[in-house]
Amino acid sequence: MDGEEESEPDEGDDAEADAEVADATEADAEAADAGGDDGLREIPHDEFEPTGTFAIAFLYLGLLAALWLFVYFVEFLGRGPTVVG
Amino acid sequence: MDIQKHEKLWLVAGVAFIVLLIATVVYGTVGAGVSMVDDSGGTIAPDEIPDDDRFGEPRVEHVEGDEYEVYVVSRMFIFQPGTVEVPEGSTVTFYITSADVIHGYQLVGTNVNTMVIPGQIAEITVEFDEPAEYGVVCNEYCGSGHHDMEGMVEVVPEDEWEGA
Repeated sequence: MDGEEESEPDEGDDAEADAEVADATEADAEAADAGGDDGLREIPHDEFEPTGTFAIAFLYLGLLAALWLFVYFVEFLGRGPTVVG
Repeated sequence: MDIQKHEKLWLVAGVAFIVLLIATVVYGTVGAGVSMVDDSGGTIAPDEIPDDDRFGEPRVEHVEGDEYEVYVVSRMFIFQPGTVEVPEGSTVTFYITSADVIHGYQLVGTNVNTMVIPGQIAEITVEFDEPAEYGVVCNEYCGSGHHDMEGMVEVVPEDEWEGA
């Protein structure tokens, strides 16, 4: 990201763009607000909120846990008689 | 080390899932009393089976009270005895060995299942609480007649039991 932005002044002569790049290199938070010409946006580590991905991953984990409980308690332990010794 | 907050949650969830898996299996062993088949049955050479006190005459034996012992010899392609009859409410210990190749002994639809290895005696104890009929199959491929190798365990009401 930084590399791309630093190369911009060489390619364009837009003073406004130069100012944006200068801000971006000074503070990541400002860069996040400013946005780049290529549509990329940098956000701080803890502001990353992959809510949808997180929901799907937890849904999958929950399903896995529920199916394990079903297989173990209903399919396995529920099918007596069983070996006890 | 800086770990992203969602990663922290996911790590906690992952560890919790592992704990859940271990806890259920521990419950199965300690709470529900499920046992694994081990080598406690000992060994017997296949050519000594005919002269052995237990396996020379495969049978159901009443030990005492609710305890029964069943001696089973598996061979291509039968179980001896083919039909095992025990009364309800009994605790039955199966001693199963093979006279030739590797067989299986499984009460269909239940967890009663063991490999039957020549030279080894598989020992499994099972509690039969209610009258029922269980088909027994060999579930280790043992030759051309494997698919015909079957037996039966009949759990009968106590007053109908006519065994030893």
